[in-house]
Amino acid sequence: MSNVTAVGFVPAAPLLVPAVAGGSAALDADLRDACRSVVTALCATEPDAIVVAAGWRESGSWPSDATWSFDGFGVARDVADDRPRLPWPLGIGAWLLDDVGCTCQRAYVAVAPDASADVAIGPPRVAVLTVGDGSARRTERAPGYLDERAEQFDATIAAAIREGDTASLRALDPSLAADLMCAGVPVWRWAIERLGAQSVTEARLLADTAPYGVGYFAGWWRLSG
Amino acid sequence: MPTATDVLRWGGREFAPGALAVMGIVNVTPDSFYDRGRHWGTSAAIDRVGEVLDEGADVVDIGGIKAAPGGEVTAAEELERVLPVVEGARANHPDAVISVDTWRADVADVVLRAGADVINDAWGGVDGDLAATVARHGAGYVCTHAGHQVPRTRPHRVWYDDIVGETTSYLVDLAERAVAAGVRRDGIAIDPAHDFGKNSRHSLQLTKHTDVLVATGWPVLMAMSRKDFVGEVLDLPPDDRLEGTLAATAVAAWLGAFMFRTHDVTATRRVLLTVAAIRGDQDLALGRRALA
Repeated sequence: MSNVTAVGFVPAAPLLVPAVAGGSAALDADLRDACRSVVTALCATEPDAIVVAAGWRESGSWPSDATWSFDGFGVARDVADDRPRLPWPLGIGAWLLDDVGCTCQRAYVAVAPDASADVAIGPPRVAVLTVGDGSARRTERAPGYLDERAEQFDATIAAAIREGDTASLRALDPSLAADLMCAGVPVWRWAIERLGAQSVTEARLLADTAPYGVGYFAGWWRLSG
Repeated sequence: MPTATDVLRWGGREFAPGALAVMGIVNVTPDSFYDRGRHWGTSAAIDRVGEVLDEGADVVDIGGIKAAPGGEVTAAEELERVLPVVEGARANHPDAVISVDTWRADVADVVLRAGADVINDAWGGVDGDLAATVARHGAGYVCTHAGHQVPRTRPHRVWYDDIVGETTSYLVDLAERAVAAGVRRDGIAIDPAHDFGKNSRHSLQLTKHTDVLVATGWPVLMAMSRKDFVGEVLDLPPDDRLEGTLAATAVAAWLGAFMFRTHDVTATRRVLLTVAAIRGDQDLALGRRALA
């Protein structure tokens, strides 16, 4: 198992990508900046590679040269090349690394809903960037309408990221997470399982917000060696 | 100019290929996104039916449940809202073409008995008994593409490899399955259902490629009135989306869509008459300018 230098947390919101958000991109500039800071913090640990991990309908992995595409959201990308295209949640992570100018070696891992991803991570020292968010049922205007349990559920996530509390984050109930349309739980569980005996030495929660009824978090953990 | 290939027969009306028509919305709801209960209550809704027909609607579309999530409206409650309006509309307007917006076969059965002519299945065929119910009554049927959404749920991060292709093939399949279930072939129209199971760019792409839907040969209905895809183009609330809706209406009409479901019957009729005149399908109502 690789040694994990840091774990980052960013939302799986397509509107983080300015080309997807269109004219309203500036509305989420603070959240986007927080996500950039997460990537910068991960790079600062000088990993051999950054592993981008996101929830997806099935597990899988993609090579370092894979790239993003959001054409299924109706946004054409004017790039003609043969690089493999990532599932869109991983694409958000890839776009973020590009946006920050991260030149680290990369790997991309799709985590199935049961938190499995039978993928070997090669390099000895990696930083893991998780792309996932909280409940999409925070308000009546939310994608999944209001579920009264969502706010407390997301508060638990925010506290776990802020405190570096791996046990709380790992203990989130997967079936409740599914009810609450929480995309992050499988990928966070997967990431924490990669840590083995490592412990969190420093934790930061840079954003905890739900402007559209979906819980968005940006944060990072540094890990013991 | 692409047009549907066959005559559509709803109630006592025949809509010839190339004809343009208006479906006027009558919401018997306290909470629909635009009218917000303006016609809530049986008598207000029956009055509204009269208004939209007076304004020139070719079809009235009566619905009892708002599309957005919210408190459950059971089939019994839906019927309590819709049935007296259908009965009143039929009594007051014996020749009107009456459509009911419902996904439920049991609701459809009752309103068709009460004199409705068409079922507008706005959630894309979720009730497997609906087409057979429509068939039993010899009624008209609107097939829609709602992106496999459960009724009254919002789309969330929906992805289409090919929005136009997937929507078109889904609608053709739904229409053919309706025919197989016994629905009259000349009673079916297809509707890509803007915003339902789609983001705004998807809805814009479907509008741009209306001709692909038309090329299937099925008459194409467009339900775009004051929807979010217009609102997101302009960053405007429903009250201020009329011009954007009418622009989309003109484009889709030019590309061959034939019927437009709208809150704004008069404005939509004027747009369609102008489009028809540009196409050469509609003569001047007044021919004086530079001709005297």
